[in-house]
Amino acid sequence: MPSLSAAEVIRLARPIHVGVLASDVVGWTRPVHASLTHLDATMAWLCRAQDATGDGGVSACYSLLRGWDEPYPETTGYIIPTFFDYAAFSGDTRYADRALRMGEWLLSIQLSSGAFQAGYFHGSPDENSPSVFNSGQILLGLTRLYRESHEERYLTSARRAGDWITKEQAEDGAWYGGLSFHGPTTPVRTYYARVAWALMELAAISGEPAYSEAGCRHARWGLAQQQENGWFRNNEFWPGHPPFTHTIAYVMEGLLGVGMHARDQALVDAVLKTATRLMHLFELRGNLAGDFDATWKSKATYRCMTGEAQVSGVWLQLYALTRDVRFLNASMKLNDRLKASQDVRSHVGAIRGGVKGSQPLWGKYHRLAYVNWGAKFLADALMREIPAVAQFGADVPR
Amino acid sequence: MKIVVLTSLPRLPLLPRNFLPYYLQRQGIPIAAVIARRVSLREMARAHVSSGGLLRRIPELFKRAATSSAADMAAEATPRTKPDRIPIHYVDDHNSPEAVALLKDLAPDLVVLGGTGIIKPAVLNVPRIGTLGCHYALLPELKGFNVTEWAILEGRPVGVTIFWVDAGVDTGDILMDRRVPILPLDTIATLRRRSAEIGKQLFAESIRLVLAGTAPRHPQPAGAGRQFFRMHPRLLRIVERKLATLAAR
Repeated sequence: MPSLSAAEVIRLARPIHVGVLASDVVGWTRPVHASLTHLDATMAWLCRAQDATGDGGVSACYSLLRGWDEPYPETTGYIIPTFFDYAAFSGDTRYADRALRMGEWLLSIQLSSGAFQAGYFHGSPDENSPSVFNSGQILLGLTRLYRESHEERYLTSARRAGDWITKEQAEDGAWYGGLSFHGPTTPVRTYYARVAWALMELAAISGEPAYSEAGCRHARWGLAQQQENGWFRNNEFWPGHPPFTHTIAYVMEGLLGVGMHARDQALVDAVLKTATRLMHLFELRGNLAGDFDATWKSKATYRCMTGEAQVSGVWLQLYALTRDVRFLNASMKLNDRLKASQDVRSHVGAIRGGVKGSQPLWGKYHRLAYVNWGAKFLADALMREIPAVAQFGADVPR
Repeated sequence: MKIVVLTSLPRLPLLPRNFLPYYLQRQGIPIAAVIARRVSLREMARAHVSSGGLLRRIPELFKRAATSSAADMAAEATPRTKPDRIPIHYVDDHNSPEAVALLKDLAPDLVVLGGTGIIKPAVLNVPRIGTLGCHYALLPELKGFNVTEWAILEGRPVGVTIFWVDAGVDTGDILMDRRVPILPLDTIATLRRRSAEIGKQLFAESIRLVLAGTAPRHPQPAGAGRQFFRMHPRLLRIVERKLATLAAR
């Protein structure tokens, strides 16, 4: 861990921070409430993260060292669908209004090239750091904004981003340029499958086949990265380090998204292979490690909470697709583990309903922080789990 | 023929009611020895807590008293002649080198698994003819844990299968199976109990076939069926409700 400044040490020493760290040291788990309780708390935390920035964007995380961080364009983009989904789920249109505010902010920071910047937002758009992945994730938000509002400016913005993304794409379908330099250092990344999925979304609303061709081209490249055992090559943040479950799940989400749009069973089968492998690992070991090597072994002593929420979400999608109830069962257990790490009763708003980067908090993935994308993916998973279980129960007269 | 039963027993001076080796012996099947894994009181307590604890089981116990099924009553009616003494050897783990050496010394023709964890090839390779296991679902469809519950949730028939155990999880050749009927007022617990009774009967029938040299081996198609895992408590509650409606029909 890098050396801490005096201000960071003082903030870390706050009683609430010491308390959450102490509970992780001891290994205490929190009470598991009904999924709806955790969902509401998670969404309320995301609202506070948005309010913390004051500009419509969503604060990247609540850090025990720095407090609420700056807004994160990339994750604000893909949080937008979550807010629309929750507005429909809860019947509370204020969440849709919040999604629109996020959209307004994103439109205001789009780069002149049509791309969106990498990393957190530091007060003004950074024209020097256009990022394919981040633009793709924001594209998921822009396309949803257009679907919900039918406002042409969202489509225009999405097209500009999509045009820039496809311009950066290599002949083989991968992206070797326009890579975010914030964190990851690998020269090509399989988890950009989520960008391909975003292009499919754009093709669906724009009717422009060039976007879906680009998306499918990347998906085929991504498919070629899959090993026989379901593991994906070129999927780590840093060469030589095993990929987090976060990026493993990113690939599954992306390929599944493309597969659904393109009605390509080969992509769905590829996701099933990896998801089934992860389900077996989780069920047999009773936990899901934070990262895995190419033989599905792990030396990780931490959990990647975002990755777990994503994996749970993918399992629930696969349950909806295949009706294989083992996926529902595994996701319910994994969600329980996530819920047991979430404090929904804390008197501190920044903690209450937040999702840690790692469990324990000092784990390798976004240490000492509650991250907005973890909350987003947990909310997504719970919004899938609740109706899935209710539907099952509804078949059974009480 | 030398038959050895592998099972698990608590560290208590009393043997459980309807102890499988004695049941088989009452059916005229000679049991040469039992190798029992010691189950600690702590492990028993943990299993008890994970199954809901005593308080949650009180209504179940009342229901059980009120709804003893025909199979239960038949089991109770089995003449309780004093069994021949069967040597019981205790081990900490059935797969331990100590247990394997013990089994080799006993040189069984047939091993019967009556309540063990996963048994490894080092043990499975010892008996001359093979190892029989009982699975509480119809193979090859439902493999793994909580299969009675999964069968109900999936709308499949509940059943019991006797199979030749191999190195896979419930993948061995099938010897025989039987459906377990759902009776009025059935709960998961009563259904499990009836499955266990039927399982014992099938064990006896299967061993007789083995003794006669006519026991079949029906291979499971490669990749057939799915492996299930422990069921989430909320799904278990759904299964209980579904079973209540099925049992009421």
